[in-house]
Amino acid sequence: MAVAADIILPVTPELPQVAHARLEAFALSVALPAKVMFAVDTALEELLQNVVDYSGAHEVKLWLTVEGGELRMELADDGRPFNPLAEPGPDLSVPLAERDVGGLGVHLVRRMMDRAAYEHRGGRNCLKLAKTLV
Amino acid sequence: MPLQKQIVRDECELLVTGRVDGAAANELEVEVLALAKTPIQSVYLNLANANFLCSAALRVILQSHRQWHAKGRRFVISRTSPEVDQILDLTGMRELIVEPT
Repeated sequence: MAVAADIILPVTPELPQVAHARLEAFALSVALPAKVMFAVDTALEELLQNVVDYSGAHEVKLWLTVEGGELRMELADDGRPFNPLAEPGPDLSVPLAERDVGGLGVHLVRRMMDRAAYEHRGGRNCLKLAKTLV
Repeated sequence: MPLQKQIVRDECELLVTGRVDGAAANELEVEVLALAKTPIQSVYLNLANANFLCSAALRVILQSHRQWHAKGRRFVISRTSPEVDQILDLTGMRELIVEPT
């Protein structure tokens, strides 16, 4: 049976921490495996920190559900249109001493989650992500 | 993010516990910038008790490593947790882990 959380959060500097607390409560309610929680927690932190720092958004809708053997998460903000998944990732073949320090957050999102997709819909940046329950 | 600091001669161990998110990364940066103004020559960042590490913290660690190295000093990670290991693996930053001499 699907279990869902549907939350609207104001965009403030504390948004990532507030969302983390809501995710923790959701994870507890569905007995989310620790490995899945760590992946989703990381993705949520990185994506919401970007919203706080760059989007100009006023609110974010966070939707979580467990369905079809996976955790599904959707984020929708009312900020400037921006697809973080289209940003180039860091070039990890460059020696650490010369490597660009940017792009690590979205790189972590891509690597930690099994699926991620973006669309601009109804004036909102919508990100859909999923992680298989293991 | 509880942060303990232990200084022996010109070496400092920073023991970070819990969640190193964006807010904690800012705290860490402030602490490291303060240490840069002291005679400390080596900083060992102990992340054995850190259960979360965000990209903002990775940027602080990498930039600190570069800045300290440029001045002939050392800023490295001395210990890791499984969660931190995973993040360092995914971002190709394991070479920042150096055992204290």
